[in-house]
Formats: sequence, C-alpha cells, structure tokens
Amino acid sequence: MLAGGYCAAGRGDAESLSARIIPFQMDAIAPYASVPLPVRTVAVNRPLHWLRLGWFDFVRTPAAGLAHGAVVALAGWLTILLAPQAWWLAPGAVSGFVLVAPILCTGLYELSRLLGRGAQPGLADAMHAWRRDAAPLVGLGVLLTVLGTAWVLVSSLLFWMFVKASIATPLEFIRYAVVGQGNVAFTLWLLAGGLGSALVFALTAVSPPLLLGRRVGLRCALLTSVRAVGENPVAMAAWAALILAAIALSLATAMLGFLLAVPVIGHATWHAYRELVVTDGVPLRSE
Amino acid sequence: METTLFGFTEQQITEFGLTWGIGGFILLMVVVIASVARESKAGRFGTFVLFFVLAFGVFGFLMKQLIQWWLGLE
Repeated sequence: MLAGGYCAAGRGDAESLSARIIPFQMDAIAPYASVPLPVRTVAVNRPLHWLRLGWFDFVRTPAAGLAHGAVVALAGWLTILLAPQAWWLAPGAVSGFVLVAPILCTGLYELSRLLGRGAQPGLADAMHAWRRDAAPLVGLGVLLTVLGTAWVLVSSLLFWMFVKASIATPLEFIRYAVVGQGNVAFTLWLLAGGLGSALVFALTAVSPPLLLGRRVGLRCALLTSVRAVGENPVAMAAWAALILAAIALSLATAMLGFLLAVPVIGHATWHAYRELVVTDGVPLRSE
Repeated sequence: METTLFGFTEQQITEFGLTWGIGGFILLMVVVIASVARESKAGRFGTFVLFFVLAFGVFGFLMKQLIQWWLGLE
C-alpha cells in the first residue's frame, strides 16, 4: 500500500492513487529533488524476511561480507585497546562508530544490487561502488562523520568533566560511567542517547542504498528514509531492535559477532530499501 | 575552605551544567525530530520515536542493573 503524499491518505481508488504518485515522480526526476519519494507500508514481521534475504546474499559472496565485518571488528578491538589510555574517548567512539556504520556498508548494498541482477560480484565490485557518480553518498558520509565526531566530543567532555576519580582499567571506567552517575543523570543520558539514535536511525534506515541505487539528492534520500520509518513505526522499531540485539551480541562475543552481523544486516538493509521505497520513474545512478 | 563561584560550589555548578546541559540537548533533538517529521510528511514518526526511546531506556536500565549485579556493586 502506498503512503499518502499530496492527497489525503485513505482514498484508495485508482484515480487518487495515480494523482498521489505523479507529483513525486516529476520532482524525483530532478537530480537534487528535496521532496520525499512515496513509500510502502509493510507487515510487522518483514524485518525477519529482510534478514533472511540478507543471509542468502551473504552466503553467495561470503569473502566480501567477512571483509566488511572484519573491518568493524578490528575497529572495535582498537577502541578497547585504546580505552585504558584514553578512557573518556571510549563511549563516544563506540557510539560514533555505530553512527557511521550505515555508510561503511555501501559496498554490501552494491553487492546485493548486483546479485539481484543475476551477477556474481566480488570485493572489487563492492569497492567500485565508491568510484561511481556518488557525490550525495559522499555527502552523507561527511554528514555522519561530522555528527559522529561531535558526539565523541560531547560524550568525552561529559565524562571528562563529571568523572573525577582516576581511571586505570576498563572495569573502573564501567563502574564510574554506568553506576556512579546517579539515577537522574543516567536517565537524562539515556533519554538524550535514545532521541539521538532514533533520529539517526530514521535518517539512515534506507537513505544510503537509495543514494547508491537512484539519482536523487541527499535531502530527498534523508526525508524518504524518515518517511519510510514514519509510515511503518512498529515494523521499523522491530528492525531497530533486531539491529541493536545484533550489536549487543557482537560486543558480548568480543567483536567476533560483527563478522556475521555486519554483512547480513548490510545486505538486509538493501532489501528493506527495495521493499519500502517506491522508485518507479526515478532515474538509476550511472554505472 | 571550599572554593565558590557566585556562592556556588564546584559540585553544584557541575550538577547544574549536567542537568541543564543535557536538558537543552534533549530539547534541541525534540525540535529537530519535529521538523524532520513535518518535512518528510511521515504520518506516525512520533510513534516510532516514542517506541524507540522507551525501548532504549528500558534496555539501558536493564543493562545498568545487569552490570551492577555482575560487578557486585550497590
């Protein structure tokens, strides 16, 4: 079912349906359109189906998938190694890394796109995604990196200012960061973190694969992503919970889980985009 | 004697900055979310944010309890 656009939602006859789609198509053909594309509403259990499709793509290109997962796992180990020397950087670094992850998976979206066409792509094809006409994609990467860096700085400042005791081990860090802050500060911290993550998740849920696949502007991609989430609040909250659970499991298995979680979720994101966004009439990005 | 600034101790200024600083940050984010929701014409974006923040909060508190129990802290 298509979500309502310029016309009021709920009118299901054929005439109003075409009236709803056409204005979007005309806007979307302009390369830097700022109007969101139409989206579909999906059943609540679809995220599980996306994961299954993501798994099928992973087993067809396992080497490239594992390479993406290994980069994330290595970055995680590096953060843990550096934590004792620069403990105040650790919380921001971990959360900031999650922030840029959607753009790091660009190679995986490209692999899924090519697999969908019946090709048998490899790691070189994944890297080629960055050499295509991808200025808005680079723009999104820069935006997320700036946001991630800002979050690292804010987070560092908070911990630097409010944790007075000297911290030598990761255990002491956890003791002060999680337990020592008191309930009011901890609640505020969770609320700020929750709102920030909800916003970033909504902005990046389907925008990187959309930018990779179609010739749309950054603003259009971001608004389309928020729209896809807003029209499917329960399904997308379930999808976010699945991703959060995968990250928690990966951290609990000393980063090894990322080897599987990154490629499967990356490929699954491509299938989520294909199902959620109506791209009819929007020009393909050049090869 | 403890050093003060305008009659406040360092501890008080720190707590003030923490609560009001994060409070302002939260307010800014709510404004950004509202404006993004309006521009994207997304009907139930607020519902998603509510779900997400509640789940995130519950998960955070559970993790805190788990870590406290694991480390044997009160």
